[in-house]
Amino acid sequence: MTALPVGRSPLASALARVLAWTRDVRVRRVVLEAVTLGLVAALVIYIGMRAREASSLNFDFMQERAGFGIGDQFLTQADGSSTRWHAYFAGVMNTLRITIFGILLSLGLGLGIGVARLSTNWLAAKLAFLYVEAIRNTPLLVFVVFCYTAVVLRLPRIQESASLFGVAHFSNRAIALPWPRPQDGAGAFALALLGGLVVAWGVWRVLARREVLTGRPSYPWRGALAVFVAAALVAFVATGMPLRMEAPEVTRFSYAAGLRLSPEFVGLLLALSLFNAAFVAEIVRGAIEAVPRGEREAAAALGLSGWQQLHLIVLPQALRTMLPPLATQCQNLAKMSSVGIVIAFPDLMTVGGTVINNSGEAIPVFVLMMATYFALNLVIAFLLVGPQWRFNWSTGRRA
Amino acid sequence: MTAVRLPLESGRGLRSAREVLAAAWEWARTRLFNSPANAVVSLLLIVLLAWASFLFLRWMAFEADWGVVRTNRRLLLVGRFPQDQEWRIWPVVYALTALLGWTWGSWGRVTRWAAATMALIGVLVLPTLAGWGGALAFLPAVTLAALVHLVALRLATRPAWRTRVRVASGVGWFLALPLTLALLHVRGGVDPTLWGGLYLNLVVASGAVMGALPLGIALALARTSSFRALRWASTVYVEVMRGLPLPVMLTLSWLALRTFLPSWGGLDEVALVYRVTIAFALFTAAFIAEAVRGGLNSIPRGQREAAAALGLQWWQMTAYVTMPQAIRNSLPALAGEFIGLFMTTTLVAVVGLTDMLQAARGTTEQPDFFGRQKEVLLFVGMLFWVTAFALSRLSARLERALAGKGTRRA
Repeated sequence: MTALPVGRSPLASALARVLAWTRDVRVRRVVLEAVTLGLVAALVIYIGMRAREASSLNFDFMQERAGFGIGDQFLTQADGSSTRWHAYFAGVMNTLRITIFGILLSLGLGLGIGVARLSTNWLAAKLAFLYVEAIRNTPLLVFVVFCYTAVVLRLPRIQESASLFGVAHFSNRAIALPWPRPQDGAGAFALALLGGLVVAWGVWRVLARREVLTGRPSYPWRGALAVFVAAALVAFVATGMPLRMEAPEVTRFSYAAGLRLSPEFVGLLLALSLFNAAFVAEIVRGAIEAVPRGEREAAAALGLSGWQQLHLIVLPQALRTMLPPLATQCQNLAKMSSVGIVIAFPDLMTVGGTVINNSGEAIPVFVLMMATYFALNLVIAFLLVGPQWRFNWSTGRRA
Repeated sequence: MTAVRLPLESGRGLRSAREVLAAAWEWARTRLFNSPANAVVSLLLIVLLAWASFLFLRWMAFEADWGVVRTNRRLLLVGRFPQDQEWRIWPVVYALTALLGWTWGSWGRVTRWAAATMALIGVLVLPTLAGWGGALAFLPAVTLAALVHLVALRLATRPAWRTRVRVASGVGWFLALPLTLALLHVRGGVDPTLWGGLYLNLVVASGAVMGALPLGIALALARTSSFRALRWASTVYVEVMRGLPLPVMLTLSWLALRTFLPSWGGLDEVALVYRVTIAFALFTAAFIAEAVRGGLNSIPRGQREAAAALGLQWWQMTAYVTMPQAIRNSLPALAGEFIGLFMTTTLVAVVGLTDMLQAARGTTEQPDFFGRQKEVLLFVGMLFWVTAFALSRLSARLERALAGKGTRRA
């Protein structure tokens, strides 16, 4: 700072103080912080005001009559005369259904392919590599459109429905699979199953504790599984076998009984699972490769077999590394299931779009859709990464 | 892989058919039949592979009819773009192929395996399926790319020129999009609703990259900034975008973005293609911000402290010290985002635009080509695959070339 002349007038000294202020780092910080806060707030207020002008910003219209039917539903019965909330809920159930089955299929397939990529079998490793490379450089939507229009819709017409041993039927109208149908006493059976689960959990705890305390192998997982299976069998017989497998029957234009899956559902599920399996496989491979070589060599030196090395030493450690990226991948699957709108699968995205079109209320529906996807993401993160908090596993790796 | 020394690799040549057989058996035994379990798996896979190849070859030989691709080649590439306006597209094709060749040359040679794959599918299979007549139109462009590639390769071998050649490739990519958009608009222009096909995918993807990169970098800086308001705003933005499905974002741009655009200069009346591009840019920016933030976080503390000790201002430190290193560190992630962006531009279908995939769906509604979905979708998939594969190899090469260069250990 330049030295000021001595004996200046009060005005000059006040001016100098103000000038010195503008050069003070702390003052600048506060001013800049206030300015940025103001800018961000202005942007938020602007967006809020424009939204207010365009919409009433309430959800009253959701209680009105939907006015459109939903062809493919899961545990819901929304039709043209139900409320828009009900229709939206049917869409949410469809999204949940595709997400759950998609995650299960792609995790299973991806785990297999990821392990195959590291196999000592040359052919298995190369085929897995080809699969991953082919999928990762192709757009998901190409798969969706292919699985829907070139696979499922090209199945025979329902009159010439193809059948697998007479229990499963395939046609371009629907795919029908055998499905257990609850009879009387199914509720009691479900309760008994829940009870079995609790007892099995207790057995697991006791055995696991004993293993830790005594050092003798107590097989907590096997013990718990045995208890659960036994409880389920006893309960099933005791409640009078309340589930009966029902094979679908071909009627003139549809199938009766069994589980009927729409072509849109099957096409989307197929595409999403095949596509995501490639990404899961890469995560699995990366996690397995991240386990230090020494771990496996030490296991081999202790005389463990290949399978024992894999499932006792390598996979448990790889699991810690792979869970967080797997959770992200599952969230991606949930989000990408919204491409179902392109083949008109009535998930929450498609239903939401229809509601916007026939109510004209775009902004509240968007807020609703965002909130639903956020909730779904949170649940997935909790289910997959939750065990990590629960068991206090460390993700950090010591070399 | 096992380290068994095979007769094939012994370098003294093979003498008889017997030796060839023995070598082949040795190869198969060590790689496919080295344990009983592996033998079973191998046999199963061989049977499966043979069956699948048989079905595929039978389909290729007797059922497939590529007429649907040949007839609709133009529709797939440029959609309903007016024929007499094609002069707006060809310069871009030449510029892009030349740039690709140049970039590739300036960062080193293509590996033989990658080059063979791309040549096989991109130069041989696709033109064969789509008909050589149209492919010949691309011959000058491909030749130009090859020539430019060789020139760049030659120049890049001289240390003095290497950096200049590389900088030129970067500048070229940044000029490509303004050139493309200018050509679409000068002298009357072409109505954006007529843009389509692969060209639409490219325009939307590159437009989104140009918008998302600066925004993403700004968001990353904001998120690592010491100003709380900026940090919170950036965090909220990034997390909201990352939790949101892209189709929802696109529908938002279609039905509700106009509400939020200011009305100056008719900005709220902007064409759907531009609104969708804005949505892609806003969405991708969040992911770019995360990638750049990762890069910023990986810079050793000492770099910042040294910059501060030298008396650099914040913007000087960012421009000359941290950002160049952050971009270099996050290059693989950024390249992944861009390739992903190119492929997700197929989602413009959600708002009813006709990109290559939707054009392909439309072709099977022509009476001549009912039920030809497999052919046309296979073609479209392969075209996307070759482009994305070429880009991913390019990014891998870039990553290798930059690895360890100019980075200082802490």
